[in-house]
Amino acid sequence: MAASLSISRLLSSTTSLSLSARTSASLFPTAKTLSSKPYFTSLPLKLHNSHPKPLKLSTTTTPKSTISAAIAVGDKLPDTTLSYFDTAGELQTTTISDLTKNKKAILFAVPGAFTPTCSQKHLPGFVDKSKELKAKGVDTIACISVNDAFVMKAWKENLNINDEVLLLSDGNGDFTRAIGCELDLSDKPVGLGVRSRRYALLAEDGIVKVLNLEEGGAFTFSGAEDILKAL
Amino acid sequence: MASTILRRTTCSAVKPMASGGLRIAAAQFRAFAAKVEVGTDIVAAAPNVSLQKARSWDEGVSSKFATTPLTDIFREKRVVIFGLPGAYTGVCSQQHVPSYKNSIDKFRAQKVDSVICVAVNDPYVLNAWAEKLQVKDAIEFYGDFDGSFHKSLGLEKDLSAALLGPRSHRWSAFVVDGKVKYLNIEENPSDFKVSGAEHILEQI
Repeated sequence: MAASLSISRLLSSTTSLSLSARTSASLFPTAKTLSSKPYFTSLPLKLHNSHPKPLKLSTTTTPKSTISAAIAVGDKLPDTTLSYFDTAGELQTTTISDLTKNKKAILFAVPGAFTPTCSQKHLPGFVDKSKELKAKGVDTIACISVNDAFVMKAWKENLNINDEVLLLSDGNGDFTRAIGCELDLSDKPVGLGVRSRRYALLAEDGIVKVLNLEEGGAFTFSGAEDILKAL
Repeated sequence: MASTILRRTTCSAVKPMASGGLRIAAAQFRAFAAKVEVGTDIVAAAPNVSLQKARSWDEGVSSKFATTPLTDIFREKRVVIFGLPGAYTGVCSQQHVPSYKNSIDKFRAQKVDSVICVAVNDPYVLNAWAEKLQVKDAIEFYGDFDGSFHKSLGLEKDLSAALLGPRSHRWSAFVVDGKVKYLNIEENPSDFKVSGAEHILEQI
């Protein structure tokens, strides 16, 4: 295989290669020596990966119990699948990529459907401000919760929401886990288990531009007005 | 008195609950044997488990989110209890719960103290669902929010493929003073053959 490689081909790899090349006919290719240009020097040449990976990996698996989140401003949102019921009553799935690619998207999360702050303040706040947000160029406004799609649909009907805000189910908690925003309430008597911390974020083409992440379920700066100010 | 009918079923491919018709690629074949059977003492089988009565958040706050121990629910009572995969889902909302609502008078005539519905949902979702179905006066709803009640009875079912997460089978039972007298478990959670009210009425 080494014999078929031409000198002019640059091979990118993640490991550094030390190269030495000779233009003379007595080229001694070893198993892994390659050169991009004819160098007359025998100095080792380090090749770096020409396609750097994004800074943060989307698949963080370390459990986070502290306030620090895995997601931060500048990160690309992980491409996870969420589900919902469409107006025809059919179960649909969508991906974060569909929601955010080439778009300005606001995603906000609530710990639980049918719980007071979520139902009375957080979600209605975004419904009320949806026109203003869309007038400022926001394409998608979506509410995410670790509830199943049936519950999200019932909650949407319960609050008489139409298409101002999408209600999406992160039923298995995959997206919430992938961005490190789990809120473990299992040891609390409230009966909610592992949910999502309350947050609101603005993403442009899938990159987080603004992140208002609450410590737990508190409702201090993750509302619609705060994100409106940031636009 | 009807003779004891115990249905022990084996679990075959899981049919999805969703009305969108999701198909699960890998069929789960697992010899299904619930830990609970006729004669099981429910309270003893789940010693540290308690359930949360369906309630609104405010009621939860005022009761300091108190949980209900199984003893209070079952001891010295004749209880018809049925479990279902999830609030607001198709069969659960349209068939399972209504069948019990419609038979409540017959249950009372058979001196059943309480008819209980339990699901792996949080108590607030269950409360909202019970109000929507207008059955709060007939049926008591309890949330097994972390699935521990169903796990200790061996009735848990992973419905992650249907995007529901860990839930439970569809089942019904008649429990007298904590001891299971009759037990019916559906082969598939989306079935509604043996766990309805009429069937258990025949058994009582």
